[in-house]
Amino acid sequence: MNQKILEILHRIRPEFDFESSNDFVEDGYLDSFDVVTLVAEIEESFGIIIDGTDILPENFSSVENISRLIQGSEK
Amino acid sequence: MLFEFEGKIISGVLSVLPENEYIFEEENIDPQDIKNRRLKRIIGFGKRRRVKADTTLSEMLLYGMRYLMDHDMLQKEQIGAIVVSTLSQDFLLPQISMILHGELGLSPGVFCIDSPQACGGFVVGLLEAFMLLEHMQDRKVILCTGEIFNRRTNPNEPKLEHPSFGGDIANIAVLENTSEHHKIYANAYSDGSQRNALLIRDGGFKYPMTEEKLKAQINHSPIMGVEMDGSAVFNFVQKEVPPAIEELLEMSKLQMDEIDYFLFHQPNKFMLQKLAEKLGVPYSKIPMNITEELGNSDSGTIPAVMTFDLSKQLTEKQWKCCLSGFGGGLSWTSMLMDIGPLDFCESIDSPF
Repeated sequence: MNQKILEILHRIRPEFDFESSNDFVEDGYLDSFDVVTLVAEIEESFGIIIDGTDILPENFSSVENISRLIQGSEK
Repeated sequence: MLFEFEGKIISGVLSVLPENEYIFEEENIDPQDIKNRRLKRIIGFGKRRRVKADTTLSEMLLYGMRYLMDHDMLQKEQIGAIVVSTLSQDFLLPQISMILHGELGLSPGVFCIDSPQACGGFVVGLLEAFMLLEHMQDRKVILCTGEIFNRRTNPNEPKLEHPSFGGDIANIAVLENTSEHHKIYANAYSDGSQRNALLIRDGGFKYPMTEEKLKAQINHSPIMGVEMDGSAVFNFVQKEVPPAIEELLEMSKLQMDEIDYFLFHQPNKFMLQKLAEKLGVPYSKIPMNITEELGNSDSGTIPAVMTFDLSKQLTEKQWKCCLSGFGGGLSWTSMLMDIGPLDFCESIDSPF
């Protein structure tokens, strides 16, 4: 799953090395429009619906947090 | 705060659109950039209307008021009050309601009030208007909304470096008392601790507007002049709006699926899709194309939904509608009411 998440992140912001960042949002790799794009891409790729109240910067700050969000989301 | 009204209706809505339409592919420097294309698809960038340089909101509203009077849709003797709910004031003084009052030659007994409301402007304006109708007998309240944040700064503006989805519009809603006893339920909430999540910094006494600032704004925010903590606002809407709507359903003893239309403020398509999912409501009941078709016009989007998307439906019969305006403040105001059949529900192009 983590590899697939990284592929999506690279598609959205190819200029950044996400593996070297500890916090994608704090480091400026993802702005709020990127997060919206990421949600749409994740929902499509994993066949899930992410609850609107879970669309918080901290849930998109690392691959682990994104993975946790996907696992806790509705199929 | 909770509200209940009875015997009050919206009897007509008119939208006055700017003449010129701006298309995403034409006004941006790089519309084919992959990020821009994604935003277009997901957020709903498309077309938008912007007024010409130097246009004021009062000019657009006067155009609409004269249209209504010229077409016998409103007589000036019927007007008991003018409520203007906008951030796009022509001047600090006089207020737009007084400009309309003077230009239309209304009598001294007509009550005029302006309220600097943002995204919730239409629903807050309805609350104010319904309270005034308690004292109006057979006279009508005119509720004016809309914004002109995105007006052209000059005819030769450069192409945009960052896509924008702000739009301009002016709306006039006519409200009146009726002998029918349909109830209207509403609630209004505020959270001033998050007031800086949506900020229009320049143009007040603290940071007066300058020509340089105005030019710089064109390329720096999705809606001209508005600074936004996008994540905070998005999360606020998802967290606060659904319980407010549940509260109205509880007050009215209605079920979610008994509501025909959800007429929400339209910041962008993605936010409304997420709200629909949260509420468990089909997308078809929440029109969400206004940002894509006309642009986000702040206090103007809900009446724009009525005139642009639902004109035929709302003039034909009565529908149970849930309205919600949310944003600047931060504040969120919602209302459950029957709307229709309206005497008129249309949009007109203007020369502005």
